[in-house]
Amino acid sequence: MKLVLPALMLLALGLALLSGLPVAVVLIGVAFLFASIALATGAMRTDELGAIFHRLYGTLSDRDEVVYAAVPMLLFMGAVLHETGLAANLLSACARAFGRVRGGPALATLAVGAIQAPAAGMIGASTGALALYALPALRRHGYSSADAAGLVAAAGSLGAVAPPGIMLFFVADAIGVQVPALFLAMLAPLALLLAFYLAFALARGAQPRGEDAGSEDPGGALLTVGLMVGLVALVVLGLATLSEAAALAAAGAALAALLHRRLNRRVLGAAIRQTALLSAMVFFIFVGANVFSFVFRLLGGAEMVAAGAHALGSGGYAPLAAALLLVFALGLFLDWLEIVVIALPVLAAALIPAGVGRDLGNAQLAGCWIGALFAIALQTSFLTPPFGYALFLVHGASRGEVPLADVWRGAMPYVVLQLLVLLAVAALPSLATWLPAQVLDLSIPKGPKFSE
Amino acid sequence: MGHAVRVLEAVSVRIGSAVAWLGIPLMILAAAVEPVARWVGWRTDAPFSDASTVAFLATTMASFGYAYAAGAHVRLDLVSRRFPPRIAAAIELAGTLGIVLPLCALMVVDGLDSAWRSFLQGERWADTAWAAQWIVRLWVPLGFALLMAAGLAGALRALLALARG
Repeated sequence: MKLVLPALMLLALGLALLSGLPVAVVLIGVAFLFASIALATGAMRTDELGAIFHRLYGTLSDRDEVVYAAVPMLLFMGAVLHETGLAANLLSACARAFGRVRGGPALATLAVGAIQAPAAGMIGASTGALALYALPALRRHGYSSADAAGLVAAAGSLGAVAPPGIMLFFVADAIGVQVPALFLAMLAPLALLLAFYLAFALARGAQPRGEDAGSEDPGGALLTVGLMVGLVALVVLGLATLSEAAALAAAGAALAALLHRRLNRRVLGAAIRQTALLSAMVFFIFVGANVFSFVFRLLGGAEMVAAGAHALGSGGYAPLAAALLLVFALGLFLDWLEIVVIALPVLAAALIPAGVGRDLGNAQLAGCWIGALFAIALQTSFLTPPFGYALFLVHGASRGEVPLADVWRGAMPYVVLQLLVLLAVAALPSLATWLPAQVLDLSIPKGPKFSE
Repeated sequence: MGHAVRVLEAVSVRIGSAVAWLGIPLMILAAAVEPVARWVGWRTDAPFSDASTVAFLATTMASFGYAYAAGAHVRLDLVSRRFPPRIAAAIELAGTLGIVLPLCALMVVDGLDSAWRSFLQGERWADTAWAAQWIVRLWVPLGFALLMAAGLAGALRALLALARG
């Protein structure tokens, strides 16, 4: 009975998600249903439902939970850069920089994807925006529709693994690792991924036809890069907390837009509306996941997952491979947020006791390694047919001009490259752990979020 | 009934939007001032980061209903987009009446109770003397009340769709 209820809860969640109700509502509904079963069977007391309010209020109002307040600020920065066209300047500046070399337009698209995607915050926003301005440019330079669409999907999803991408905040939080440590852990895998992408883009690259219209305003491009690098540097050097650095970057974006005379009521209104709606979407799912995981744990869900990890052996690799496969499979159907806030805390809490990363000698380093692997697995799932999220976005942004089959075909080489990076990081944990171990004091523990 | 839908949606959208216009700039400015003050050696005792946290909580809570009315909450529509309109409306009605409204009721009751206790105890916000904690706590029931208004509008809209067939 102990393991049956949480298993049924997961099954009910999977089925109820198909109803088309908002994901947060489904999470809360399934939690309520199973909470009433738990109340009837005596596994839960009525007054324990009151804990839901205190968990929500405590999380959103805790000054130490700097992670959460940074989210709307980063979204605002991305919205301002997008609405003012400062982000678009980056593509034309990169196109000019790489314009004359073989594969130049592809290199420009990848460079923009790596730099700009974190600012856009969500994979949807970054891939959609990139597709709008990069797809026509790549087609004009003679790239086939499959090559161009695959490249844009891969470049757009780089935001998932590039610091300070919002997904990394939530992955770090779910696993219980310091956010700056995960930022640093992602740098080497990201560099390897970019190197593979660039090599492939060069090998497949077409000779540029003519010149792109160069940016009239290279300052805007430099500013976007400066905001990203500055934000990560402030956090890693300990000069500012995450929310402070995000606030400085957001204020910097607004100030730059003002100086470029592009900040007006329309732009500000659009940025505020986009920030409010996206934050509400993110945090409503967060509330839903919090309620779901609260009931799931009361019903013995954590023990169920731990028993599953234990059954796969204590050597480390088998439970890790199973968890990565599960995350990858979930990523075929769900957006990253649901996976990260529902599945990751439970999986991470099961993996570490199962001995995963024990050789690394420090729970934070083990967390960095596991977090990096999860992030790469999630990014890969966005690109994998038939349901890869980024693939649909590119197809949609092309207004149906690029058939879905072409997008799939174009993305396949990038999926293979990502799997190679995933294997490399799995085989050589130091790719993810060396940099944080050198730069940060990792002796301060940070426990998993939903383990209480 | 159509009028009631418009009024309920307008309440959640306008209040959510007004709080976002005030809260997002305040959240950013207050959090950006704190490190600058620290770097120039001005001891602030963190009133700015407190203000930023309150602005964050207020904006997030007030936006739940705004996003619900604007249809911005993410849904998995792989299967549901093939549902006939009547089935989709029935599911929406059941989800709102069975899940959204009870959740909102629970959070409004618990949130008001928590704010009232905080008021009676004279609870202060962290180290900062200027903010009474009950005002901060009040944002949770207020946010869920706005979500309840948007949810009711959604339920009425679904009822109308069912009635029209």
